[in-house]
Amino acid sequence: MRVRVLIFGEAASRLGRSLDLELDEDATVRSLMGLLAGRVGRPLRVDDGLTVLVNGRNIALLDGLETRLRDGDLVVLLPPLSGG
Amino acid sequence: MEKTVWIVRDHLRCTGCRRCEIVCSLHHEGWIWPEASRIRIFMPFPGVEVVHLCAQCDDYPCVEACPVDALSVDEGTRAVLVDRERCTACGVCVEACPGEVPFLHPGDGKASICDLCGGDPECVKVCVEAGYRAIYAVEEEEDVNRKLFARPPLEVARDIAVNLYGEKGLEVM
Amino acid sequence: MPRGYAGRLLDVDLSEGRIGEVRLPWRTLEEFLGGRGLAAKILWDRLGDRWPKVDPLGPENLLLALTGPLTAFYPGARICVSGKSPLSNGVVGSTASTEFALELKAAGYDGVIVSGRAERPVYLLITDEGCEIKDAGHLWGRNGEETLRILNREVRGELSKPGRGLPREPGVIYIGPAGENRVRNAAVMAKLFHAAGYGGYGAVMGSKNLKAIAAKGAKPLPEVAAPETFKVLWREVHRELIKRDRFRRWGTGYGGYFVAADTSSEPIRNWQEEWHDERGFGGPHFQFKFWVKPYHADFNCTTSCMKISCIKTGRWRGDITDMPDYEMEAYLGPNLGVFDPEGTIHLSAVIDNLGHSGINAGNTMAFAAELYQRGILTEEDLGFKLEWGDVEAFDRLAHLIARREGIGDLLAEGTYRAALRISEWKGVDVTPYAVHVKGIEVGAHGIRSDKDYPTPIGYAASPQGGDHTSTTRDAYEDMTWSVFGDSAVVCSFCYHDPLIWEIARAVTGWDISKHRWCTEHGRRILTLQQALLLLGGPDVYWDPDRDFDNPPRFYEPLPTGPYKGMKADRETVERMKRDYFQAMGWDERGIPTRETLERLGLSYLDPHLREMRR
Repeated sequence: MRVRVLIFGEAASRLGRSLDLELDEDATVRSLMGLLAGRVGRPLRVDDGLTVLVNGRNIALLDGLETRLRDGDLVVLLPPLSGG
Repeated sequence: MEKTVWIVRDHLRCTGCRRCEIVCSLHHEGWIWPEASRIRIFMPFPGVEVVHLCAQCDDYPCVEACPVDALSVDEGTRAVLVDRERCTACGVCVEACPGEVPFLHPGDGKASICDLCGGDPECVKVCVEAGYRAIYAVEEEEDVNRKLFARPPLEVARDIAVNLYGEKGLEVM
Repeated sequence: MPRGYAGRLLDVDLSEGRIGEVRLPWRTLEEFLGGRGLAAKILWDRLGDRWPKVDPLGPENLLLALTGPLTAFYPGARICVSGKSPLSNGVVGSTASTEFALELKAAGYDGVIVSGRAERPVYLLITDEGCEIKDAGHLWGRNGEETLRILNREVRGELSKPGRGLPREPGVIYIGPAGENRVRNAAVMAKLFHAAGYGGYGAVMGSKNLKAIAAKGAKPLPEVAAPETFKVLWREVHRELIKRDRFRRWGTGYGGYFVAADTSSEPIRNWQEEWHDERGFGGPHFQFKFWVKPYHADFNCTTSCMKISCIKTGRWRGDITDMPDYEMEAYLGPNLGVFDPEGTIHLSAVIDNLGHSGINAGNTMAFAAELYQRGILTEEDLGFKLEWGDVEAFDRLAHLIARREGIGDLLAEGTYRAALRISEWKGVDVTPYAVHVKGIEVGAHGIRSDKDYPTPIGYAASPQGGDHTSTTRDAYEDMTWSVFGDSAVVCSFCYHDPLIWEIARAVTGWDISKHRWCTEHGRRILTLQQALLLLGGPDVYWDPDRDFDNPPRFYEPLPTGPYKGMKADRETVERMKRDYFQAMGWDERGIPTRETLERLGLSYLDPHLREMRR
């Protein structure tokens, strides 16, 4: 299956801002994060303030890292909140 | 001479967070009550924060003036203690203070003056914890300099305003 | 009685000169908390059935100044100002740090509702004894410095009683000349350089002839549900805030360089660019020459992100302002083509004193300057040249806008409405140069480089439009530091997860969990705000098919810097917006569905939204 990943913030400089990825049928957010971490060269951790949305829904409201991905999903990675 | 507790104050380092008032009232009143705090931050113009509390004058004019002997000096810390049973809320101590420091409590109307929390003042703990050190406690011998700090807050504010804002400081006060 | 609350609101009708009090039902407080949430609810209850007809600058509108249950308990006490916005025609919760919030609670009130319009300028004085309407003829026309100086002296004199000790100064919110003259994006000011800037509530105060509200209370803070737990948590949250060293050291005052040079998201010359590498505009050039107070804070705050600047020599001698903070640095610096710290500090002091909102007035002035650059507005139209970087020219323009003189009268309508009028006047469509969303000028954090915190739909999908303190991220986190912070009414720079939720429970005794707030209470508030925004009127209505979008400029490629060529992508914006609306339980155009309204207990909105749905 194919998902689109949009990446914001600092991680985008290593991964690019938009990726179309071919994933296994049983892919989850956890396996996707593992795949991306491999490309960045360091772990990508949600508890570091990274927000993950699947089709606009925060994974905290879905099944967390175990959230299953489906064909055509849009996954968005956002950096921690800041600003002022 | 014996060493006594005194709170060093540096108005220019005060941020105006007033955590000193919060912990003072928690200690003395059991709840957050800024108007009952024995240490009071006057803020007559933004940036001009005046740390206002008892200076422990060497001649204690407030104690001298009290007509009912409700005020006394603690033998250890040399803080002014108020006997709230005796105090009649007459306000003579307020008038006697060269720095307009004492005030009548917003609840029971009795004279309110810093008692140094028995020697380990709560206010300085939070100020030091935050790294501001606008107030901190020392143990030193009494001296005549202390009374110099008993000044009306608006007079002190004029000095601070000039220090911060130069000539403009005269104008804003 | 609900815990953490004083328990009553002042209800002042300036037309009738009537002062009353209201006590809100426990259930209403639990559902809407305070501040932004409660403001939306009060506005709906009192004006909802005729919302599109209510003129934000008419006597019918309400000016609300509300605290929340955590105000003064949680670090960073703020006041939330609201009403029907003369910019968005919806509801904006606009907050500012000020002791006014503490004093109001200490006087026994959770907030003030002001309706009507006074015949002559007045101010309100609130004490433990109640509220008085007082003459403000001597304050009208005064700038921030003068207003504060006079009010502090006057109120202290009034509260003075011989032999009781020297009374302290009141907490004050006020307007400058900009608010008095109903400049649509004028701020409600506090403490000289603090502003409730978004929403245009300075103009609402001005329309009511209300110069200021001063409060001085002498009571203890209200009781809380679990005082001993609260005391422990209070010490803990401060320990955490004190660790935020970078914030405490610099505030946001180093942003003027950093946000441009690093994240390429700073407005420059009306957003024609978002990148610069002007090191002379960097933090140290502000700090070591101008900062006179390196740590400044408001009640119960140890974040102390505020630092005070003063110019002590030269032609601008005596100017006092904050750092300036990042938003002012950007909007009154590079966005006007000014790359000189001293010039930016001067403009910041001018803007504060006039009671303009720096972000919004800075946006409008840059919009005018771009029109001048393009030859659409001319020297003849303005009466002077308006070149980028000319501090004196922008100083002059700020005064003209505040007084509504000459071209200032037109620009006083805010960027969006000024753009409509200039388009008509000049016969050229100038709306592509207006950087606003739903009438609210956009904060100084761009989206084109993707490196700053606002998402591509951060402004486009937000019921508060261009407000950078309430950007849309997702249907969960939006509810935390912005919706919860504005409704509990505490500073978002003191937000600490999870301590803020633990403190909320200890103070109120209610079962407020982050999860429940983010899925129920917060969504209820945002959904109500969205409904009132959609209803809009009377001068402007937003078209969901056209206006829930970024400013056109954000679809132009960045012309310079490391992210040159990047721009907002329309397809991404549409997809993210659709996903967000769906997660919120709104339809694909952003209109809350009937099911969502029912689930959130907002069914009473349904008849008003029915016709908008396809």
